[in-house]
Amino acid sequence: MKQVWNIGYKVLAVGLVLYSITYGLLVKMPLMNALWGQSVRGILYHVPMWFAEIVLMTISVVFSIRVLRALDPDRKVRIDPLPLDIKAREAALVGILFNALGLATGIVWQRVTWGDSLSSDDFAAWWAWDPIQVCALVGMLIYLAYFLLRSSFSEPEQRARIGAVYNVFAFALLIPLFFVIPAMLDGLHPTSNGSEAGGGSFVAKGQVDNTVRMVLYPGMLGFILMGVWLWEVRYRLSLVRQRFEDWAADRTYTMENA
Amino acid sequence: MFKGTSFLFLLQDHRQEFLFASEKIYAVMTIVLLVFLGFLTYLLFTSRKVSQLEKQMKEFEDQKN
Repeated sequence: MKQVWNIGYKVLAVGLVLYSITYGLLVKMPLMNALWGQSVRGILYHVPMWFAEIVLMTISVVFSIRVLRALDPDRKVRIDPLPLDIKAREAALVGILFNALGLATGIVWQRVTWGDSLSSDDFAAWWAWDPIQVCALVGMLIYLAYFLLRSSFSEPEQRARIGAVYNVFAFALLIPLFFVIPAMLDGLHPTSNGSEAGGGSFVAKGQVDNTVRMVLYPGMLGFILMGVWLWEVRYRLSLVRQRFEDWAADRTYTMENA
Repeated sequence: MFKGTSFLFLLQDHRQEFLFASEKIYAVMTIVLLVFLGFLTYLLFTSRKVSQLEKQMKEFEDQKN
């Protein structure tokens, strides 16, 4: 059963992403919004990146909490926190990748839609200073600091403990950054207070139709599963690397003391 | 003749026609597909390599025990 799930979700991920790319680019989109026009296609690739990021950051914080529980001195059953810490770290890393892709797809979409009348030399054509755009960048910097913090500790258990605590706070910060602050300010996103959609929704109400939904929702699932697959491969690779390093250190120690 | 949003609709429609008529959309799709397939190849290759290493490590640990 595990084997079927292991292969099944990967096949599903590849199928859905291929469908999202081919059908999403070839289907004729209905002209539902005068400004968006055919650039509504941007939603098909921009929104799934954020959902994938949120899923991966959630996975990361769940494993960080498990690290803290494993390090609890009152715990009766001893669990090795280091593989859990590697899982949390790798999920955050893949989450950052999706954050960068979300920013990049947003910039491209914004450039051809809202910034179309501006010259390419104009910084505003590329960066709209939209609240979510800025908050996403801040979120990325917070998670980059997580890696910087981790690299400053050489002792694995200490690194796992401090990293896990920081990760919980970083995830807690994502909630106001993605959901609260943009909802209070004016911006281009449908979640923004002054948006055309009226705020409070991820997909602008009445401005996307079933053609968009037919590609958006399968694409969302596909990109999330691709992220999970990448996370799984990176976790296994890190674990193998860690074991080889432990083995090499053990061998050096034995040879030095022989 | 054209007023407000109707002009924008026509402009967008013209852009779409241009994108499909000049077949640029196929070039875009091909490039995106190539990037995705390249990433997929990397993922499959890495996954296979990691499986081999995991197998070797298991054999080594079994020998050690």
